[in-house]
Amino acid sequence: MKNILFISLLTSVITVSAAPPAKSVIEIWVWGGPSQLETFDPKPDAPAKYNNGLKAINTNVPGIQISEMLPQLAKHADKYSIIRTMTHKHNGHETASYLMQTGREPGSGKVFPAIGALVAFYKSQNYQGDLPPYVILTKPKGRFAEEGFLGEKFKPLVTGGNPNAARFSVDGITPPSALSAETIAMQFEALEQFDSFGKFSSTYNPQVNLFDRAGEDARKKMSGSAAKVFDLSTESEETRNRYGRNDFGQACLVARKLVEAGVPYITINAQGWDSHKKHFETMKKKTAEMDQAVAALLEDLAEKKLLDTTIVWWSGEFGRTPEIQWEAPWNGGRNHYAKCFSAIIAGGGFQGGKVIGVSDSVAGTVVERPVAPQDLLGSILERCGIDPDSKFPEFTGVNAPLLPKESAAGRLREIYPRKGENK
Amino acid sequence: MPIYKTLLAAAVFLTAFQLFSSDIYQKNSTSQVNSGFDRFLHRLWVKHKIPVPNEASDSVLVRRMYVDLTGRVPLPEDAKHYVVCRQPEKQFLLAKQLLESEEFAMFAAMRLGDELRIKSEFPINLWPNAAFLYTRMLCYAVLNNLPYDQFAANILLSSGSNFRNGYANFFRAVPQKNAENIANAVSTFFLGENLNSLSKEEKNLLLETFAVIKFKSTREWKEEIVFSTVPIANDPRNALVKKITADPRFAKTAVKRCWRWLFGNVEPDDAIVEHLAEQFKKNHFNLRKLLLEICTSPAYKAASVTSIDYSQAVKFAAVYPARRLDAEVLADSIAQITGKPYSYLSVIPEPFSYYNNRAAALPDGSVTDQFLLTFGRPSRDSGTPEERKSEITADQRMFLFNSADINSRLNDLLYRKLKKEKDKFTELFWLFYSRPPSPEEYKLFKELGKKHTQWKLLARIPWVLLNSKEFLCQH
Repeated sequence: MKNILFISLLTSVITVSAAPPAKSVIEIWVWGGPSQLETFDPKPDAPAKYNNGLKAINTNVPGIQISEMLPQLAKHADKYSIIRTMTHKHNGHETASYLMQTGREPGSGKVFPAIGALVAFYKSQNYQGDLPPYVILTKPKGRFAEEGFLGEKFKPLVTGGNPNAARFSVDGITPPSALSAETIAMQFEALEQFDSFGKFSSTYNPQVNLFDRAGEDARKKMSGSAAKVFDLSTESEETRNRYGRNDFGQACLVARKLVEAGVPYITINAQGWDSHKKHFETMKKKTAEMDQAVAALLEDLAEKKLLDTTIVWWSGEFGRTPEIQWEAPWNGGRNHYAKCFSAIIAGGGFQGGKVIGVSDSVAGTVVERPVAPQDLLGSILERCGIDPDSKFPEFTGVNAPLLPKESAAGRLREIYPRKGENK
Repeated sequence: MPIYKTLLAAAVFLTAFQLFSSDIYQKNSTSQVNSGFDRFLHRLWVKHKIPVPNEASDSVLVRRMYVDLTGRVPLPEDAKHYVVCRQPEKQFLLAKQLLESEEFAMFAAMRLGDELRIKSEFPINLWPNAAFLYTRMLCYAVLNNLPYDQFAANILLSSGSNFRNGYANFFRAVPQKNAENIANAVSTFFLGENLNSLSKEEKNLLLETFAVIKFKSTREWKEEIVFSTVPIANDPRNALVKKITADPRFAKTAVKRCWRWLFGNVEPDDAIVEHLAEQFKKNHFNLRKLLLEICTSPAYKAASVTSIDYSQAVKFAAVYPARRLDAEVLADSIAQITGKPYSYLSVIPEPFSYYNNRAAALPDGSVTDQFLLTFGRPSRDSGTPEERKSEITADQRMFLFNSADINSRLNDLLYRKLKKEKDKFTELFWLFYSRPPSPEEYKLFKELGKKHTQWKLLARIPWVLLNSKEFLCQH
């Protein structure tokens, strides 16, 4: 028995070290809670009160079916693995989001950093880009998706703006469009000259001098590459159309550009999945955009040879109730449901074309291989070359591992890179 | 033009002219002694061989008082009135007026809320309407100048529903609702010390006292009743309140807090704290009187530069520490100057909360806003003063250099709000700096204008002023 344990431990270490760690992570945060039945865990044989007559379709991987609402993603199932047995106990958005973002149960009295801030923290040692190491497209997720006690530097940059507009304006990063280079030069000249207070206080007040240094650093950043990353005019019409001409599609394209710029962690905050009412109408619109954009993203990353070094994961804070609520006031809705829901993970050395876990006949309970939030997040950290069991750095004053201990079923080692793969 | 406006304009012009003959930012100290605290400071300075600091000029002082006491820069007309006013007591009168204002109460409630960790969600789960009520009650306490010992008693003896008695949320605004965390909140907020730094007896007394506090939910969503397991007459909190309010650390902690409100996150020499704490106690914990005494002292009126060692000057209150404007002050000032208010949204928890009010009036630390985050608004997770960041960073400067939103606000300011203004250059100085341009600055404007075309330069002057140290600093 001891020997078997030893060997399995050894193989896990070897498989981990067989592939180089991922450089970047793209998180597609399906906020609100996407229905597992209309995405990656369809139940075509269940009664209509569960599936509303929707069917499953074959993917390009024999034996794997997904919802008919995702025809494009069905063509790329070899690139991602599906987790059908994500499970936890929180059915409220805030608590569930905190758990899915930090791997921690809420209520400990501390705000732990979200996975984005953790990856940014550890990757920032080798990251020299002009943009912060953690970027969120385009709307904030709130304080539970932030840096916790890791410090200001790992707060996400939330872009705001609309990537589908003629010009994607990221306030404070992309310069106001109307200003010529000449005007910009003039205003900085004037700023330097109209500095009566600076001249008055510079020799006496140490605080005031810090303004000059911060200003110089800011100007260096402005002349750097930061703003160019958000300029989608560098992309062909064909590429832009491939991702879909909507906010979410173009945000996925920006995410690819951010990966190319070396940004370690990018979150696309896909909102509007909280389909209590008009569930099927919502899903029809949402899944169409999601299907096209995520398929394009995976394909594009693979073509550009970036998928091996980029993890893409897709999940909400929970799924939705298997039984459709036809009664008033829902009139065809699904409620929050954390007991069993789906996520997908691709790239960064994770094997594609696999299904993890088995749910029951209505996607309501886990039958085989439950996956706890910390198992999923721990696997991502591990594939980024970060040990989830190591302790937080001393300056935080928090004597705890980066993530809670993995569950009995453990991290997703069954889809870690096989030895010799992904060099 | 009505006659008073003409007179005011003439007076502003004359005063402005006088202003340049001395310095824009400072003047020689009058060494006037008005109160016991003034006398104390002068004696302290003599003892430590510290020269009497220069005084801030009127235009600096009016801006300073508005920023510290109302959380925004003054309106140009208020600054002009102050500068031309010949009343010898004008500084005292303005400080008094501002300290009695609703704006001050709101701003003080924000600062108290930072320390009391008022937020709806993690790691403090007050819930939005409880956060709102709690903030509102702090606001009333300040507005009515409730004696500080009475304020402490109201909080420490509170009980009832979180939705009906704002103060009861004190016991809920802790990381985990147990006696240890409550005791720690009490010792930190009222005695300025961590629970573990207290003596063993003190610590045990606090732990035993707050073991009586329990919580129960009701059928109302997220309502929680705070109650004591002991009948009121026997509640150990009664004795504790007497003990705490009589403790010398109680008054000192309040004095240090007031000092932070007025001078930023610095701590003065112990002798200053002790003197003020003693007076505070003698005056029956009259918070407004304490603040007024500090505000009208030569310490508060001191120039923001010093000829002696800077940290010595800060310690002995012989310089006013210049620092970046706080996040909320910056947002509220930009909104006021450009005439376009900001609005705020909190997406946690559901249902969303919308706030169409000043940043300083936000009752809930869970409200997330990129601007306020960038400029270091505290998350209210731990309640320590260090949570608020006041350093200036490259990201902050880049944001202000580059923001398309601010740029469009500034364009609107120049071409809409000031459309009919003849001397836009001067009016912009009043808006951003609370003072007119000096002759040198006017000359520079003409010279640079010749080089670049006058109207093109003028179009960028709002941007120049907004990004200048003079605007971005509280000084």
